[in-house]
Amino acid sequence: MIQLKDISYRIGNRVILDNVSFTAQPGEVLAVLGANGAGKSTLLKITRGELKPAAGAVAIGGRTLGSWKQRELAQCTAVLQQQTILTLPFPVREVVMMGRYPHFKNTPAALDHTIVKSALRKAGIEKLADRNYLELSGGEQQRVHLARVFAQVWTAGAHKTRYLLMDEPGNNLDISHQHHVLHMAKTFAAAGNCVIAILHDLNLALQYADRVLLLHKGAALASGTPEAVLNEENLSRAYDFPMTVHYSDSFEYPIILPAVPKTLVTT
Amino acid sequence: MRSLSVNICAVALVVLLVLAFLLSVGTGAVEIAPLQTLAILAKQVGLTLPAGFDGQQESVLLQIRLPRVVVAVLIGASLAVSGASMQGLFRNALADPGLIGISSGASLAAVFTIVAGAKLFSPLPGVARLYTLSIATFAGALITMLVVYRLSRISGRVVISTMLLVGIAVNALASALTGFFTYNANDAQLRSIIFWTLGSLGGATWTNVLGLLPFTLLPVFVLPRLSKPLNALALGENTALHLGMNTEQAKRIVIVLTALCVGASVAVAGIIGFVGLVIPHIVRMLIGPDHRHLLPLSALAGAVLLISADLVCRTTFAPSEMPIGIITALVGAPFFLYILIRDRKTARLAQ
Repeated sequence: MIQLKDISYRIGNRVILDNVSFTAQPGEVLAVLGANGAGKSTLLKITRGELKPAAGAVAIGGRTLGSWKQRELAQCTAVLQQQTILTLPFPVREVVMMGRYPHFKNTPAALDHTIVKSALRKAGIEKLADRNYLELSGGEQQRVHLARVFAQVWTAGAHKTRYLLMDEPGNNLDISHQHHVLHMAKTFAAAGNCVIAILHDLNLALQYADRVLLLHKGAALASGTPEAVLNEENLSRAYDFPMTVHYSDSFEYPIILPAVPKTLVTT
Repeated sequence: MRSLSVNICAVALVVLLVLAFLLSVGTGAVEIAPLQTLAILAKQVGLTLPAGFDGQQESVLLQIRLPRVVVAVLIGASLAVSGASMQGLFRNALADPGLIGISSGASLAAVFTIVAGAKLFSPLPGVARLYTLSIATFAGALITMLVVYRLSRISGRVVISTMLLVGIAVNALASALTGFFTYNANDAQLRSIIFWTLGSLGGATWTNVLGLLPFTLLPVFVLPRLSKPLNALALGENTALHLGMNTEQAKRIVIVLTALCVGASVAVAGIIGFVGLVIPHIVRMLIGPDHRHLLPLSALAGAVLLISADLVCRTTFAPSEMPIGIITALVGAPFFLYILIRDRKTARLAQ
């Protein structure tokens, strides 16, 4: 369980987050949504302890962040960033092995090698294992990091619940891979783990999230089930743009569309 | 990318190291064949090998050549490991103790200690004097390193262009102050100042070896233990943190140990530039960027390079000796340009 209570964050006088609280339960995918600058990434960084909030408290697995040893926390919590910059020519396999760094001291054990192999397969990049990371396309690179974070939290170890924080996991990926990533996240959560994902694609959120937190200008506009939160009123306000939720019998989920006003199209 | 297996590379470097060692201790005014060298060494531990040698060969080897080669090994290995670790820390292949002014800072401290502290430290015995000098050069190296690190960090990231510019400024300041002390020095001091600014292993004695041992062995054996954090830092500081690495601790250790070995090397042999730049680069081209292999193999390669460079220095214009800093710069500066040009090409390709 990840709990954030009354989190506020400021840069100078500018309020980035204002009194945000939420709880992410094991077994569910929590999607964090909102317009650019709504405070999504900051919230994720505060959750992992990269940034210290001006007020409020963060607890992972019932323990405050400060009471975790960095290595211990890394054994059960992985972060997939929007973009990871690597400029050294590491082989793909070695980058994925970095996900196992919190688990071994100096030399990887046989288990670590097995997990790296499985993670490569799960991310669909086992053929790239011996390639130079720098020679891959942006989408392939993102999948290498996906394999790396899954390798990091592959086994339960001492902590039963594992945590996965994802900042726009579909970044750089085509549609089928976006769905593949979220499917992986959903399966991971279903095994009793906690996933928090920042998403830009509202339809992906509708399909994969168990709960949604909608941020607007640093405050929580709404939270709850996707169906309850993602209505036209909330969305139009959060994105400052008219939105339509289209219900159709031919699809399992409603479809969210930006309803572009004619004035904007003609100008 | 791993075109050569790490093991093959390691074995080749060990063989090269043994060959360079035997060649270097055997070459000079008094020739000593490899077998004779082994026989003399064996005699020290009470063994007799079937190879004859005379007393002159024995004393030349034990008193002159051997300490010199050992100093070359210690300095070469530690400078190469520190260079490789610094490049990992700064996330840039151009970080080198010489280029960013750390060696100059250390050398300035040395020159200052020689000129200003001559009277102060002269009553001390040899090793203690050397330790004093080492501590002064260490302080010089550490202060310079901290200044460069602070100044080149802009909002949490080290900006490499700033770092190199700070290096230029530090080098200029150090050379001006060194010039000032040179101007005010007497003849004997002048000779040792030239020695310090161009580098030489000429004065190597067993006392030097003792003075170097702790400061060079620490980086060679401790820095490879930081391979995980250094690898993780390649993904950025945040990702390294997500992987549970204590990057702040790793940074402090790299900075202090680099300053230690640069300081001690400068105290014994003056400024020897480019070793920390060239060696890790060559090793990286051979076996890839994984610090777990890069650091130990750089140590081996650094030792081989410095033994060979020293051999060239003392044989090219024998009986007079060329400062070793000239050789390493002659090799290193074009290499530095080559890296710049190559990176320009890849930068253009990326656009």
